[in-house]
Amino acid sequence: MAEHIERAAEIRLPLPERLRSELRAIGGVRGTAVAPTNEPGPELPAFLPFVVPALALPDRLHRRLVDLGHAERKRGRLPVWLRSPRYAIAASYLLTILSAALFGNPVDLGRRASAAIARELHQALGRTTVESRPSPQRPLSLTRPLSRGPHEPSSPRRRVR
Amino acid sequence: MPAPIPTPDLLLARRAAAGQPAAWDEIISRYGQKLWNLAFHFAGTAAEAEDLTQEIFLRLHQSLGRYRGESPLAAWALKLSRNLCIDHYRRSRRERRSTVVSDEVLRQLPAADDPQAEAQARQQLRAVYGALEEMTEDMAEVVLLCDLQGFRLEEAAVYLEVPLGTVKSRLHRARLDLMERLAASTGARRTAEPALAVGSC
Repeated sequence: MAEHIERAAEIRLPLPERLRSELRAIGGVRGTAVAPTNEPGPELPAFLPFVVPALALPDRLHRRLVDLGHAERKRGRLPVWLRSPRYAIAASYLLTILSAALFGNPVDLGRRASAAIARELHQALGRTTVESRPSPQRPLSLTRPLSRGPHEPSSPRRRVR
Repeated sequence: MPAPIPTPDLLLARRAAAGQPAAWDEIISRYGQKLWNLAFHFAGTAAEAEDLTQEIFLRLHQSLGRYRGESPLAAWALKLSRNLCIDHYRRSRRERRSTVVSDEVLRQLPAADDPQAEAQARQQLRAVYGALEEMTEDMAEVVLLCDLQGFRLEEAAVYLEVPLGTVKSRLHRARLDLMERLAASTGARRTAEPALAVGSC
């Protein structure tokens, strides 16, 4: 309300504090509510007819909070070489170099491993074929193509126009 | 650009972050009660509030190193606690359907000479909490802060991270909403007004 009067009268001087408080008291009367503004204004009056009490911090909780700080301090922070990602990157780089030097070229290692797996697989499939062969006249070929669809010719045929 | 002059708050935070027990104790004595009460009003029960307060202080301790002193330490601590309080409030609101206003709060109400007035005050507080449960979160939050917690509007603005004018208008609307709900719950729309005056907001 005080701000409204100030604005209405276009007063350049600030409203005296005493007058402001008196006007505010008038504004406090029910039914003469002032619309909220975006300007920082006087403190709003209490909404509840009584003060909601502030609870004291329980001793138990106080001790817990104090211990919290001390425990954190005791635990300490991790060393920089563990916290920093730079050190982690450098360590992994070093490990890669060392392992390459110890075990050889990783690409070659991978190639050899895949070749070994392929060989094992081939042998295992070969054994299965021999064991489950139905007749000697019809050898089961691993290279036989899978069954084809009805529209697809069984052998590639070149169309001649 | 010259380095900013360290404020007392910044020095305190730095000392606490460096692990000085006296600085940490100072932070607890400054903000412990306020954050505890805040947690209590969001949690509803003492046990939950204790856990929430501890969680807030743990977060505070871990984040003290990031405090740069742009705002007062109190405002910074409040802002830090907001997400935890809101999360807890949402969780507890989902979990419990009925309103709980702790007996601990009711016991702390100033004793009146007239037992009837005292009982009425307790009843009003229960009704306020009941209505808050039904209100939208942002409305309930601003009433909790300003009317039940006694935050100044500036503090509430920092806490809610909105301009001061928004706090005022939101509080005004929230109070009207609360009034309507209280009146509807008692069945007498206008008779509740003298007891809970909206005032000049």
